[in-house]
Amino acid sequence: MPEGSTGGSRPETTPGSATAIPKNNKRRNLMELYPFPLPITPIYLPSITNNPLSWLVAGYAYWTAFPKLALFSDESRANQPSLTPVNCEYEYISSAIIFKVTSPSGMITLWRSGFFGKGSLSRSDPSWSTRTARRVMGVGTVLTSEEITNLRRQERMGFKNARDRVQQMELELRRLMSQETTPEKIIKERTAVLEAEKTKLAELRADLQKKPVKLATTPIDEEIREEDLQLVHPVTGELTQLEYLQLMPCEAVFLTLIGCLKVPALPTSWSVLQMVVSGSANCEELIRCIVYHHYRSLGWCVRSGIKFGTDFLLYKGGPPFTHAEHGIIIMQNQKGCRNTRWVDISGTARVVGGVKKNMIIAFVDVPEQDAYAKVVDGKEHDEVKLGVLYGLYKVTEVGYRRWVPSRNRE
Amino acid sequence: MTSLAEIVATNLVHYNLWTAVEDVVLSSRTVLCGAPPPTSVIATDSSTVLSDQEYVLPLLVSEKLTLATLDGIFREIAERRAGVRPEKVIGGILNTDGTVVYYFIWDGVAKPRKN
Amino acid sequence: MPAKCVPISLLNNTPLVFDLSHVKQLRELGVCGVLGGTLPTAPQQNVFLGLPLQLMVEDAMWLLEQKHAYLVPGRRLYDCLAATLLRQDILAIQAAKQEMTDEKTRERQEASRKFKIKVVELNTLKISKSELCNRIKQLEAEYLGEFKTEDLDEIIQDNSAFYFNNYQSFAESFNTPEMQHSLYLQLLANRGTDLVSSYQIYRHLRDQGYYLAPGLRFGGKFVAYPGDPLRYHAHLIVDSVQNYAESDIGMMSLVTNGRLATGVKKCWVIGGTKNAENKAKGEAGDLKTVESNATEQDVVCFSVEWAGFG
Repeated sequence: MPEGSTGGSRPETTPGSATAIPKNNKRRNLMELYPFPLPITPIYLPSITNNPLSWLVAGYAYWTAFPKLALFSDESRANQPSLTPVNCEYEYISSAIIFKVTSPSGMITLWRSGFFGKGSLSRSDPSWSTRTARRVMGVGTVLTSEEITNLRRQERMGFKNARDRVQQMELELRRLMSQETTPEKIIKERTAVLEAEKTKLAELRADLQKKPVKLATTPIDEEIREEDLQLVHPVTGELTQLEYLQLMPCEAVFLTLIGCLKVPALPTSWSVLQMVVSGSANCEELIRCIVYHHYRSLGWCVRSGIKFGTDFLLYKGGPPFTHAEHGIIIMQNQKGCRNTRWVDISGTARVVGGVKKNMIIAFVDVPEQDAYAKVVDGKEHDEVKLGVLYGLYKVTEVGYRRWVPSRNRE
Repeated sequence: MTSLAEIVATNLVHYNLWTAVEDVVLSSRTVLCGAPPPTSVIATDSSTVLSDQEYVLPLLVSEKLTLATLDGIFREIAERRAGVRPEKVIGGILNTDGTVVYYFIWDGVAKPRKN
Repeated sequence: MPAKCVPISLLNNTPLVFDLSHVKQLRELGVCGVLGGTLPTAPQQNVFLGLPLQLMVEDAMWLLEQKHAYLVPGRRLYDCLAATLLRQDILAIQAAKQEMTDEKTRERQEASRKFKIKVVELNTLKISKSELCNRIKQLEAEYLGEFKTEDLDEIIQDNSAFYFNNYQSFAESFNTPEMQHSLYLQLLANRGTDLVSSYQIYRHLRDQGYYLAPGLRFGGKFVAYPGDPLRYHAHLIVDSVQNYAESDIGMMSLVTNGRLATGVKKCWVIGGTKNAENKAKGEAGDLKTVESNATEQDVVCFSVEWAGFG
């Protein structure tokens, strides 16, 4: 893997990164790092005017741009999206199918241009090898987002423990004060100590709220485990790459459709789709593909919402730019499907509302099984079929928000 | 072909930094047993101390889970521990995007931990 | 006073309690219910609701099973009582009520006016803040004190809606086995087949001393408090599945509810009963089946929390 391409140069992805970059700058850096919303490279051509000279210029530009259309996977351009479809394998995990991208350049291409997939051993972008290299071999200085999360959690835990201690002291003091035999002096002493502790606690709290996470100057203090040693090649000393980029089935279908992904043995997006759906018009995976396609087509970055119990999360730019704004849950016009109990909707809405996102119910009108079967068994070309099939479904959305009459009163 | 248990085990060892993770083969499925990292990053208070023998139940997000299944797993683990049911197992749920989310599943009614 | 059985009115198959003393009695038993009544004169106000107290079906089932209560047909009871009233009774009640309100209101207004004048006078004096507070408190007791306590008692009596001395005896006349059985079927009528399992888990938690309340706002059937909800935060969000062996808990439910519960410092409890075939008979609403088949060992439940990693 080329040095620095796996995530070593990704300080901007993290909110509290080491070097404090001014906000505008940071935004610009992000734009530079993630210029394309899809893994498609636009080729900018000079405009053609009445001046015959511009025709020549344009002609030349076409000529030179043409070879780029069939870019080879050039290592030096690894972080540039290319029109060469990324290779992807699939396998079954009991009843589920998973799509894997293992080539480092493919992983980078798909992540950097539209935030597709998820590192199998990372929270979002595949940063496992960077993290592990530092942890095991002490290489690299920039914190990945997972490391920052961990540090934050540790800080919060420290704060909570301190808070518990102060509460204990307070209780103890109150007990002493209620006993008349307690000498005045002891109460005074204890009160002073308690006040000092409280001040410290307040400082801790303030720190938690504003302080960016400090860059650990030394490798994070953890023992090297036996499990880690097995990762390092005994001769070359290189780290085994355990991580791959996993695509959701709906991502695999979408990326194949736009020509950015190639699954050996599954030549078209239609054949990829057939691998993941059950054959009934209201198959949940099919509906997911349609809803995914719907929001991707409208320019949203769509990612899994499992952490918040939703089907998808919608990001305006992508995870490094902003937090997700909307949580999508899917509902169909069919009986006995998921998300039809008020209790469930209410619960999900609480979770989504709790992390300050909107909850959107994507309501999907599912066609009759006959209409579905007609398209599936039809004679159209595979690539056309997918469009025709998707055309049978209609997605509308409804926003849902918890409203408490006694609180949300104007 | 990789098994669900292998994927969850890899996630435990190389993402969550558990050690000594081993398969425990039960009649119906394979669960895992291992030790969480000592400087645990788990957002718990002191009341939830994780042992070095935590049981993890690998699950697929699309699979059906019944009370009987869970009950059976507690029972089978108990058989290997002189009849003592573990106080909890940790459900490791693999999602279609490769995320594994972990949930404590306590046997019976549990008191929530302080946060 | 030995606690009498509480009459639970069934209106539209909904269990309601109309008497404040009964509400208190139920609360001591650990059944809180939800106050749902608005004032006839200000129906749009929806913050401070009053009588009647609405119970969950499970609450009512438990109270009946424990012989703390019996059912009365709300509509019929009301009709019976109304029929016993003579026209002059009604006029007398109305007149008495009017007079009482008028007089009380006048007195209160007068007292409140005097009190305010005194407070203004106080403010012109140069005294410390704490002294001022003390003085105001004294004045309050002096001028408004009597209204505070007395009024409350009066409201309570007034609200008992039971100018009817014969209320209790009328209600008790419905406490016959046949009547109770038919009312019990009505109580269960609006609920689906999930009732048996949800009642089992309800009772399981009640037996452990939990107070239960409806849990919709937390995405569950119940929320459970370790004591009176006025003193404690809820510990559990409770849901049940119908069939121990067959029903899918739902992986998404587990994720959402586990996450939600942990976020609000609770556990999500999912429960059900073994030996589902026996229980299925209870679906018909047969009181005896529900009671006799429900043994404690049959209830199986698990508590779910987000692990905090991963």
